[in-house]
Amino acid sequence: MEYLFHILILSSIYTILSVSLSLVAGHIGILSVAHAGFYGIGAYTSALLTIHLGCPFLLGVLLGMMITAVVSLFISIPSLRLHEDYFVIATFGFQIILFSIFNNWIDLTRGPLGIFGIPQPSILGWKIGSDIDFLIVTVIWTACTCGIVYRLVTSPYGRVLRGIREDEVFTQAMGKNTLWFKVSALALSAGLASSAGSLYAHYITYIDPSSFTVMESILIISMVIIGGADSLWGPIIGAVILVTLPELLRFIGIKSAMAANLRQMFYGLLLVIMMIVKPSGLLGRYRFK
Amino acid sequence: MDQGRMWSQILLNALIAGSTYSLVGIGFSLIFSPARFFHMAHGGIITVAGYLVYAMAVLFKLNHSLSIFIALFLAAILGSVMELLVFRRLRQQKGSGTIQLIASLGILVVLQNLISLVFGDDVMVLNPGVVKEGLQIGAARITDVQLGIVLTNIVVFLLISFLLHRTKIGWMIRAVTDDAELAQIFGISVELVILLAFFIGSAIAGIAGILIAYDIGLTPLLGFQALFMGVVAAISGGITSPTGTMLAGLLLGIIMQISAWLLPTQWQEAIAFTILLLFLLLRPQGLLGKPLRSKKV
Repeated sequence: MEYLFHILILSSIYTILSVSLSLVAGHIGILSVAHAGFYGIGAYTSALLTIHLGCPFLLGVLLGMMITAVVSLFISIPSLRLHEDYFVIATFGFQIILFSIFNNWIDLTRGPLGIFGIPQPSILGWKIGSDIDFLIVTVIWTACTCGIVYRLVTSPYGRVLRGIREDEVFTQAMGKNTLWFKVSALALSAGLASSAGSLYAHYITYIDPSSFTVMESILIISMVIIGGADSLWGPIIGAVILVTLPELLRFIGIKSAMAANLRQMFYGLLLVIMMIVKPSGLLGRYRFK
Repeated sequence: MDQGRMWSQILLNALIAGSTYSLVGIGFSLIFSPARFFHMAHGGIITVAGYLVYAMAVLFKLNHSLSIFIALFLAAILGSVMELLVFRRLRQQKGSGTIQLIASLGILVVLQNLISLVFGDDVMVLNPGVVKEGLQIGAARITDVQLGIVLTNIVVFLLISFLLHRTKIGWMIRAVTDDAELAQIFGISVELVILLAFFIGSAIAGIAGILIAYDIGLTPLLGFQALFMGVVAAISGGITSPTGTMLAGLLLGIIMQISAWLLPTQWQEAIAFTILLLFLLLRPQGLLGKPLRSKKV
């Protein structure tokens, strides 16, 4: 039962990540490879704030989201003016820089040793100790995230985002400041990814840089792309599939060292096959231009 | 160590490191030019070529030069097979640069994990024989392999420049680079040109991978890390220009060595990418590149 809760919580956390990425990937058509980094900033910020300053859980999450949104400006303002492919490379680089900071800024993050003893959260006096409590909190937050993203993409704001995706010059000609829309959407997406990181940190109570590598970013991208980047349910289904399917490897009885490699090969292969067979994903309609 | 000797060693190390960046970058940009997408699996080919030499020369005790020759050929074939099986199909389906980039990233992940599954994650050493004292150049020292890296980079650069500007094949590659549709109308087989670029580019990736393997040994992440620097060199040099790529590679080598002297070395990747971001911000077309249009490259 505990194992089942664990899988559900992880699926939930990854759903937040994939839905947040789908806001920019599916609706503007720009792919961020830095989402694992944003996820990591959230995890580190709220972990450090609660450990060193005794900051309440919710405030930590909120501050993490704000810091991450500001950090995202460093990448979005220089590179969003360029062609989409250059944005992918720029975020790739940004991901490497963020990982480097997690791994090498020993004084702050303790580097590869990681941070342990992250307190379990409590919200307004409700101590979230058991897995079932945590599952409730994550599911509620996941639903909120999906709600926020859904509300945004069905609003006029979302229509402008898709306008940029289909024809940026035309959208500019309609008097929209497209750079502002792209920058704000990425900041929001990064903030949501960061909240997933805070949840993860307080759930596992231990974080180290290996959870926030470029491979993690590729995993999040796979979830979004396999599910369908511009649909509502696509990223959710993608996250659930990619979290649960590799668990089957455990039941076949493959050694865990091998399982890690096999799992990543599976993601990689799935990406290639998906691009050939159905680049718009299982439920999506948009294919990257 | 006195000041003069230290600086000449730093400059020599910069030349060696810069040569590997430039080698990786030249192969990467040769493929990018006609195919117009960021071929991340290039890094996978770098790794695979190194491990192929290891498998043949160390595990099966084959002659080193024969192993290298076979590995280079296989690397070129591997790149061509990717083009034939995946990228050609994606182009025919009008798949965009981003779609091809994602597929290429997928291939990179598969290759990297395949290598790690077969050979493990430990560092493997290729260089045979005993450790020799390096050659003395001025006040600095250089090993045979490192000298090989520097010379190979020069030879590859000259050959590619000759190929692009003095042969019919190069003329076709440049035509497709400028405007694939127009080249097609003039009777150039775009598919064939891209296949050739993949074949030659992947062979260069193989050369880079094997040289790095002889110099510092093998890990499954070898190609991934080499690719970073190659991409930074290619983009900051002007991605379709081999001359720009080589200059940027050497310049990057100097910056990396000086920064390694000032800061702990684990920050190198972060510094390289900061340089890339600065280029994207201030001069997105690179040192010698043509200006980019924002919508279509």
